[in-house]
Amino acid sequence: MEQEPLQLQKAYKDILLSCTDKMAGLSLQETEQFPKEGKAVFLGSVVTSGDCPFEIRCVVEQPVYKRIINGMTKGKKLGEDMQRLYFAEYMNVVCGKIISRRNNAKGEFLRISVPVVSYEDSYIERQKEQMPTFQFICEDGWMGVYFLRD
Amino acid sequence: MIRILVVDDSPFVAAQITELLGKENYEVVGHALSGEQGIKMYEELKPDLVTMDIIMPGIDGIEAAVEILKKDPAARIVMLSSLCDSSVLEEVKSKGMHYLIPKPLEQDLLLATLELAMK
Repeated sequence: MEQEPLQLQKAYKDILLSCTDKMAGLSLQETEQFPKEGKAVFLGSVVTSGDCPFEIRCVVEQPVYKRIINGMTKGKKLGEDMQRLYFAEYMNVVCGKIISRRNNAKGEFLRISVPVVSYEDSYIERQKEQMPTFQFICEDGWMGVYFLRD
Repeated sequence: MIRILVVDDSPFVAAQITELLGKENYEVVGHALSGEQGIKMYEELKPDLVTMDIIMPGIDGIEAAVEILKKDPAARIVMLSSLCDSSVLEEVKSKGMHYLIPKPLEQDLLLATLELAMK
């Protein structure tokens, strides 16, 4: 992601902000502050196709995850399995639009995998050595987006 | 009422389409969670129109749409995807589908496209 032109990086951020607003009614603010404490997080992950595949990983603190789900369901309560499917769709839309933008800019034809959603108790502690590409906050907490090469 | 089969692994999309079309002349008669299930449900339900996601586990939506069109060349299929770059559009057209709606869905565009597809 460091090699991506700044204009493209900005486009990716704008896509994430716009999709989060449209799908969940949630406004995120960009931040440079990495969380100080290790908290429980949900992770959404897609992998691209192509000769040099990479992973787009979205890490959200649990309250932000709940907030996104709540926004998508307009307050209707869902079981845990269904919540993960909703978050998977959020990932599908955000990552699909990011990759589409990249494809159009670079003349490439990458595709994305079906998103995988998982939960970790102490992700932030473990990942402190690897800073996210983008970070956002809202009143519910923190979200980090990573573009990871294999 | 125009009968619609939704083929999408996401329950969010099925709920969203049901809500967006709720007050219009459309009825969601089935929700298939995969391309394979979509092909079977098409034969069982004989809907007037299908909305088909592209990225799904198993066979993708384009492949599923091609299979449905082989069995019923008159099938009306509207593709949905978050991936809407020029190559996806070309692939959708080359395989015989005419409509591709970007996600996240917007009511105006969904209704206008369904109306076109029904003509």
